[in-house]
Amino acid sequence: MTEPLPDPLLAHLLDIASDPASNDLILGGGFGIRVKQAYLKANNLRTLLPAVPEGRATQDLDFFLRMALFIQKERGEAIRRLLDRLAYEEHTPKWQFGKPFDMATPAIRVKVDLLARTPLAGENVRVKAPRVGVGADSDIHGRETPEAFAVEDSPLRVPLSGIRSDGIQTSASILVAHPYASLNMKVKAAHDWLKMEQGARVHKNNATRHVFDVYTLIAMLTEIELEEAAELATRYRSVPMAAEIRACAIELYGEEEALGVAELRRQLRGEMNYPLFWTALNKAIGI
Amino acid sequence: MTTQELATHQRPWSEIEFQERLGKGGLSFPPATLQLLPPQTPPQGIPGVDVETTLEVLWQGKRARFVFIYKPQSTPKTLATAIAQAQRSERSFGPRPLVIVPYLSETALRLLEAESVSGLDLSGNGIVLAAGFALRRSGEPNRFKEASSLRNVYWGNSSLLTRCFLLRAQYASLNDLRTFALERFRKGENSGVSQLTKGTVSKVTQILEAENIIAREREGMRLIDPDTLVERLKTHYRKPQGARLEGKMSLNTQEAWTRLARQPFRAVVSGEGSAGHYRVLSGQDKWTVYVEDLEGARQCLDITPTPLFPNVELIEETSDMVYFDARSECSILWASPLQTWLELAHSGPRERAAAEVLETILRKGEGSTLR
Repeated sequence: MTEPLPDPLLAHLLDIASDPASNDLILGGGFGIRVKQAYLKANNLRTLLPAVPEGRATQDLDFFLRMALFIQKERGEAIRRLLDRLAYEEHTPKWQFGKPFDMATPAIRVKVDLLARTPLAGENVRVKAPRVGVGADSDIHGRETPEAFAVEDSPLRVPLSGIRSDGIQTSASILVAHPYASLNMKVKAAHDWLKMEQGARVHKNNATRHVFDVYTLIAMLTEIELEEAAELATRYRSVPMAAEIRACAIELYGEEEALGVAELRRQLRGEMNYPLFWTALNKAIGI
Repeated sequence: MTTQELATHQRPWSEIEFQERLGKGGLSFPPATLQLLPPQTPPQGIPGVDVETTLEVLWQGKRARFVFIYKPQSTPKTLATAIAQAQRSERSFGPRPLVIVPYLSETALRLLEAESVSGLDLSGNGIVLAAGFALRRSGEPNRFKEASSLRNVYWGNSSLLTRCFLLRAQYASLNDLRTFALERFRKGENSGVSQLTKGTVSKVTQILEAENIIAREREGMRLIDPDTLVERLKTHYRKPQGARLEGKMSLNTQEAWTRLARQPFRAVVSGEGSAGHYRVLSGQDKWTVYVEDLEGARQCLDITPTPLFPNVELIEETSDMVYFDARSECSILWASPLQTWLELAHSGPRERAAAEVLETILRKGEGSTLR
């Protein structure tokens, strides 16, 4: 079970999760971390670090679409109908949606981003960068996210309960990406921050959050998840993107003096067990 | 306390030394001025004092005279005796009594204030309660170190005897206390016998008596201030600093203890790890064990070192404190309830709440009833 999140975004997640179409959605991003944290706390599960940093606040619901949505047209259509029924408007055709958080504050908007991993060669799903699922006629696309190569592997189903935006008390559940998949995505995003720091890219607001999200994901690993992650790391070892991300992790966190570690220490105000973090990250992504 | 501070410590002055030094201006209490007046026979003096020596305190044109009671010790018991003596000698007119001791701590100053008795120390602290003015000065370090207080009876092997008063509140004699303490060691452990000599038992109880923590009575010795004892044991407690090893072990607890029991070195579950045994805390993920030989224990238990989700932690500890009063159940050695309480009291909020449960029992001097 999951403790009610003290978060207004929960109502909007419940709106989506209480529809059967949501079975094809995998929650990622910052809110995925928050939902997972609430689950760990409610179930008193042992995590790698006893004090897990609180997940950051967000206004975005990042959903990864299963490839099956593009192969079986009606499953994709069900997602689009769900978003339309909940009065989401397209911000970017077919993959970015939004609507006011509530009627009282229309200027503040909840955003739904649809993403997808890069299809495998035999999956017969078309990509027209950055869109995945072009030509599938399901009226939704996923923004291509190559670093999400493992997102459909072993996601965790997290129970949810709370009040939907229509005021109805609801119990539902949502799939949350496995830590192995999340870590790969976050390490890649954190490495983009590193490139900004090194001047190779233009700085974006809040880019440092990804550096810290990696630490948070490591901190909240359960023992079983760490073993599963190690197995997944072995399975995906030969994937070029996985190799690239391992190199990114070494550049970011491979030494106590590395920029990523310095940034972590800054955000943690010096309190950090670096050897534990680095040992766990090594095992979790197979460095 | 620094080495330099220790070097400046003096032996407290005897009464004769005090009189001599006082005459030479050896006592000061800035911003007031102290002046010794010639001795005179009092009409109704302090009990036991034939000749009154009067001290005059001058401050901003005001003056007050005091007849002082000097004690060459600063223990709580000595101060309490001096205050009682001062209160008995209080007169409606003439010089008021003033207690002088080597050192007045903030606690001692508060006690004097509460009892409306003036007091000065030889270190520069004091409280003067006179008609028309009152002065208070604190924060000066203790320049004197009394022989008895050099021994810390709240930490180290001496503290094992002190701890006994929370396990059992009353002892018929010094020998009874020593026997009780020695029985808390496991059979075959010789270190305790050599440490807890009759002389040590005598010194420790003298200090505890001077600190008003225990009282000697016709029936023997009895704990009279468990609150102070509990606080001091907590204050002086230090976490074991020995080498540590975390890792994974495939043995269950029983199998592990069967192996440890065959080893020549001592081993005991840590205090925090023993909390479940005393039913005050459950759900610990890691089994923490004190061992005298870290490498020997690692090999014996076949531990693979890893910081990732360790299920066992070994801490090398050779002092008697963690092994003292260990309790055996199904061949597993659990830490003493007292060690358990101390460790929990220095841990997180959940553990501190559990420590309070044990503390209630220990304050009654009933720690030995815990099994």
